[in-house]
Amino acid sequence: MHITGDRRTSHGSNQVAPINRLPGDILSMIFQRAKSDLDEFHIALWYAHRDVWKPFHFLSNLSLVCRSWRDFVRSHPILWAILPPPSSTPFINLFLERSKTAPLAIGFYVTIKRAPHFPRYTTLLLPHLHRLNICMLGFEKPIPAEDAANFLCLTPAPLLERLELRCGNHQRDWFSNPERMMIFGPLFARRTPRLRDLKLEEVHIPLSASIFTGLARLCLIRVEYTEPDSVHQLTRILELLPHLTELRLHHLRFPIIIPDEALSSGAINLPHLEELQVTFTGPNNWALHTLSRVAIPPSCHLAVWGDLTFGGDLRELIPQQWHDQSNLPVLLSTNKLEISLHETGRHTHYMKGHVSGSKSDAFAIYMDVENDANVPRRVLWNLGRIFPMPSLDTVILRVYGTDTPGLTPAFAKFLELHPNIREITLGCEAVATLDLLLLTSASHLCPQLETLCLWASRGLDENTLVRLVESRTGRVEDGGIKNLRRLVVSSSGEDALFSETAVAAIGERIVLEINDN
Amino acid sequence: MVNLVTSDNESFTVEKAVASRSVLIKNMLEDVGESDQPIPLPNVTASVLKKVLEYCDHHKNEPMPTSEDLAAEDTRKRTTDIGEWDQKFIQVDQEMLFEIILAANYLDIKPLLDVGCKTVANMIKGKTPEEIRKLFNIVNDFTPEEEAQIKKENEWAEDR
Repeated sequence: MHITGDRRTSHGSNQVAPINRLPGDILSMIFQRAKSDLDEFHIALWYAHRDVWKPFHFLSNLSLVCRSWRDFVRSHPILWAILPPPSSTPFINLFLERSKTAPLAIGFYVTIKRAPHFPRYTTLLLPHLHRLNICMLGFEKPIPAEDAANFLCLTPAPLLERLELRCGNHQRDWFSNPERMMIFGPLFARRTPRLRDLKLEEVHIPLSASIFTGLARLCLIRVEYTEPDSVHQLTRILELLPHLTELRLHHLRFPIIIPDEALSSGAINLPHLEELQVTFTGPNNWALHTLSRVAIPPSCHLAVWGDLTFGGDLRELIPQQWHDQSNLPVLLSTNKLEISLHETGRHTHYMKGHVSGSKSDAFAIYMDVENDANVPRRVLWNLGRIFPMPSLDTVILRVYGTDTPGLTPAFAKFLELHPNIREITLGCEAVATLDLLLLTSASHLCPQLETLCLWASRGLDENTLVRLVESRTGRVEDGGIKNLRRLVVSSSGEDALFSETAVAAIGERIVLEINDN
Repeated sequence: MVNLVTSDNESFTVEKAVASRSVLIKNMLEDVGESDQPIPLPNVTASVLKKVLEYCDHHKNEPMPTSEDLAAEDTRKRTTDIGEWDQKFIQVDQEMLFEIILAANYLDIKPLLDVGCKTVANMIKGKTPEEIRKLFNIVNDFTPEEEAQIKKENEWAEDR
């Protein structure tokens, strides 16, 4: 290209522009930093259809600044290594050529509009699959099996580290329309030796496939496995993945397991697991056979979602405890439990366990239930036995709804099994269980209780509270000390909570804090 | 204490812990052992070194990043987030900003180099070519044909 006199002068003055005095490796670092934010945004939100062109326009903008920047950008393959979604052939070729030998990343949604161009796009990519590093593809609706298979099944991907395939649009009624699921055979000619991160959503790949080996992160969402031995295969996968750091199994379906069916036994140790998430849908006794064999470290966060609408109880959601509790050691150190239960409507009840010193919860169990007043009783009655937390010293119970039969005896059962509780918070209708502490001797129920917090939406019976404080302070018959030292009452009611006499009577014995919200 | 001498022949006496934030100086100190000899820094002026030492002093008690830390950061694809103190520190004119980057590169102070690069990256992001030119005093030296060619490449990026 011939440079005219004026342009030559401009070119020369650009060489002395302060930014162009920076060495090439620093300029490259700056461009990569600026683009990596866009790339990260692009990769993180690839499924959201938004701003997919932003990183590519950024490259164009850099190239349009001046000749030296254009030449610089063009000669740095790493800047071209994230490929754009299906678009014109010259544009895709530009990235394939300029990325030279750099590991490639693709991440986009095959919308109905883009689907007809997908075969042409994949044909361009096929000769470069040996350098595919990240592949994240979403399909708005299943594309012809041969189109997907040509790209995803036939050619090895030796550098592939992260693979996400998703189909559909995440509807709750997915199982009523399973033909939306995409079904593949073994991927990438069974050659993905570096794959560490696999996520499949509404995409079925046989659990016997080699793609499941060597993973650090595994996420399966809304997949129906029909092979009779698929539960065995899932178990086998977990046995062979001792380095897993994340395991997410949401809305999976397996063939019903007959109780006496021979299944392999023994522990599946996942000592590096940081996150275990499971969502149960429909019949789920696969969990009893698989998850209850999994042993996770104390630092692993556990989150479980399930549906108790049809009368099920916690045993269907929570991994079964081993006798020595070594499969869920977090329970041994859980010292605070938060329980939120509803009586009517469609609600998600939850329980969250906390370990002292940690900001986030150690485990969370979410339970969907529709119009079932018995749920609070069912949850609390079983909780202490099937999910024992020997170090529990604080419990927060919130119950919404006025008709919760059996709540008080169920909570009593729970408290009996946790004698080290020092602080109880009762919110909304759970305040109705207060009688428990009055009617039961302090030496039998919560003998260590020091602090009682009450969040009431309506007036509290001050006489009951005065008697409760009297019964929980002073010496017990055997010479021991009753520990209650602090009562905190919060109310949203407009009336004064207590008479002066009651305040004086309580204040004589313990610290009373009253908060009018 | 360590004595540093700049290109414009100014001397700075600083704590060893502060000077050692520079891998270049740290290695030199290890090589020569205990010595009163001043360390010449021929690529850094006094005004820039003063600023660099301010950064080093503020971060002197932080652990030095290991090569593993830097590699791990790279694989996480560093973002352009900058800490609050560093943001205030790097609010300087462009000339000084680029001088700090060059000095951090020469003295091998990776965290400071990173702050400088992120700052320039943040200046570039979201700007049009014309805005970038204006910001950095760059002249458009493209011929109309060259400019048209790049714009044409951009037009290929239509969603189809």
